Amino acid sequence: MQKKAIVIGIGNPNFKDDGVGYKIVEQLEGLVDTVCLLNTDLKVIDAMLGYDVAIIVDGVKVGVEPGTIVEIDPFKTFDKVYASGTHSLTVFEVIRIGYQVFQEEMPKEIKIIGVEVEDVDTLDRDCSPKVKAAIPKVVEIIKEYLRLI
Amino acid sequence: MQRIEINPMTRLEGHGKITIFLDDKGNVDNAFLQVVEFMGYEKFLIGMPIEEVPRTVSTVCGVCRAVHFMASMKATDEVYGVKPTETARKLRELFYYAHYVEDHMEIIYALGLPDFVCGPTASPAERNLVGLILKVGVDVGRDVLKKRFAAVRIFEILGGRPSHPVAAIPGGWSKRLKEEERQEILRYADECVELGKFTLKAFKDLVLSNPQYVELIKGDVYKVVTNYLGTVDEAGKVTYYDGTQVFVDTKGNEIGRFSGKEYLEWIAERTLPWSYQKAPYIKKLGWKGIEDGEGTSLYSVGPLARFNVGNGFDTPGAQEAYEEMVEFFGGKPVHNILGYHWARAIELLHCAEKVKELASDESITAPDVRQELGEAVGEGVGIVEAARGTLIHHYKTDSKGIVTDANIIVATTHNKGPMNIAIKRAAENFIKEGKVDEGILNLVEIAYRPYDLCFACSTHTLPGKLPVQVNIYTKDGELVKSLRNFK
Repeated sequence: MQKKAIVIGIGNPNFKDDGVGYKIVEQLEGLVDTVCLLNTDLKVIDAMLGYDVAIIVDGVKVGVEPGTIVEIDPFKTFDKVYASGTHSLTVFEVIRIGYQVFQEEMPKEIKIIGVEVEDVDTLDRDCSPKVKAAIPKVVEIIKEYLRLI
Repeated sequence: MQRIEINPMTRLEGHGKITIFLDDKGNVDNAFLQVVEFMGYEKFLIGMPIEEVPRTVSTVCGVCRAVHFMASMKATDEVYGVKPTETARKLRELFYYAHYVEDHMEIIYALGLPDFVCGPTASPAERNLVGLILKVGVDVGRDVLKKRFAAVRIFEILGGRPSHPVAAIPGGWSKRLKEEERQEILRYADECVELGKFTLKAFKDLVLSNPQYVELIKGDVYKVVTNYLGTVDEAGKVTYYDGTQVFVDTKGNEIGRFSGKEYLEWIAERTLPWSYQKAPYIKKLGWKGIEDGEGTSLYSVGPLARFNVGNGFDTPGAQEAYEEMVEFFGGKPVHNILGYHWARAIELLHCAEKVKELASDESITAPDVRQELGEAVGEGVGIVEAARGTLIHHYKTDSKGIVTDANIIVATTHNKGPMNIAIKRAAENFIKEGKVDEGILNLVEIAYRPYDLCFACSTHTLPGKLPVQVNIYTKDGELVKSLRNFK
């Protein structure tokens, strides 16, 4: 049986590379359930409840070449990131909360695909060239992973 | 002189920073909060058709997305010289109250309660929403989160999306509410009210029943004596979507009131040499520096400010809770900033009760959700009470409705002066003779957390939080210790 999947794009489409997750999701609309969120808060849990697989796509800043695709296993990251944040929650914290309180309804598989950003400060609806070039690659990775091709 | 810096890192590096200076004895000499905020949205709007602006500014922040949308929509109404129809106004208010329920819930449970339930000096690894759920129980956590989802669903039904809303049109609302949707919202409304009641009970049981926390809440360490700005209805009650903006002084006496463009006569901004952000003050009182106490011209906004400005709430549950809080503090105004959390919990219930009230009104499904537009008159001001405080959007346009100028004043900006004082006061209390330990990081965070400051939440990259780092220097500039809330 086909697994029920959702792709969650996170980011602000008005802040250059911050919109990369948003733009990736736009290209998957109609092929799989999708949702776009401006940041990581409890709405991430809302979006993924009831799905077998959730893929989160977002800009990341891990210090590699802009446009580099970074895959993160949230299950291996839970104990490495914590927060007492002042305004928002981390994606890892949100996923951890989801499993803590909605164990049965949370997806059994969660994959985070990040694209290293270059500029998330400039108000621009277009991503920088290196980040833009990564978009079709991530779309293909997701299609392949979810067997949408 | 020693210097201690609390630096947000990653994408916010350089945008928000707290620097604490110590004197030669190792005691606090001064403290500064430096913020770069808003990230150019005002310039971004120039050249944009005014009707696109509400949808665009709803992306300023992923948390408080409805508030910029709403202030902008009100300003857009003015630009077109129209007032929303009665039904459109009800829909806007219903949408706004639902947003408040969701927003206040997240702030109370993720940022406010963990300090008390997990302990103010607990490790950041425990002192968060996860730690809170572990303390109160998974079943309770699940119930609270499910009730919060009710508010998000109302937001989505009315706004068109769970993230940034798209339903704005000048003088109206883009979509009529169907009767079956009203019935659905009514069911969700009950859950919102239960959430509000539970939250207030949790605050009493988990916080107010602990004498140490009561001492902390009532004490002088987290106390900032300022004037207050809030919005009231015709009866003087707290309101959010529309009303009159009122200033009260440090004794609770009204200083004055304004609406719309009159804000320019009341609010001035002082450029600070050490900050990218200006500090607003009450123009008619003149600049008196970053000082609190009687005679200050600084003012605070947000839930506690509204509590101090309004003469109560227009729903029974919230009014009862309001009276309890007044009694607890022995009167108003309340300057104890940890009271922000309590006032926020009261507002959560108030907004839930308003959701119920509006959803119970069958006329909210009436078809009059759009208005005939006039010619663009070229200027509009929209003022709302955002969850964090008074929010002002002011636009100028040409005759075709293209934006030529924009000015936006957000809650974090209004609170600039008071937050600086709060941080300095906490630092003065907890840093003595150069002794700084891990606890200082949170004890300073506790000082600005009630204001729920929003540095630049409009963009994010993973991990999506605001990490804080404290660097401690000797008077010679040598780094002797580094503390941070992330690994």
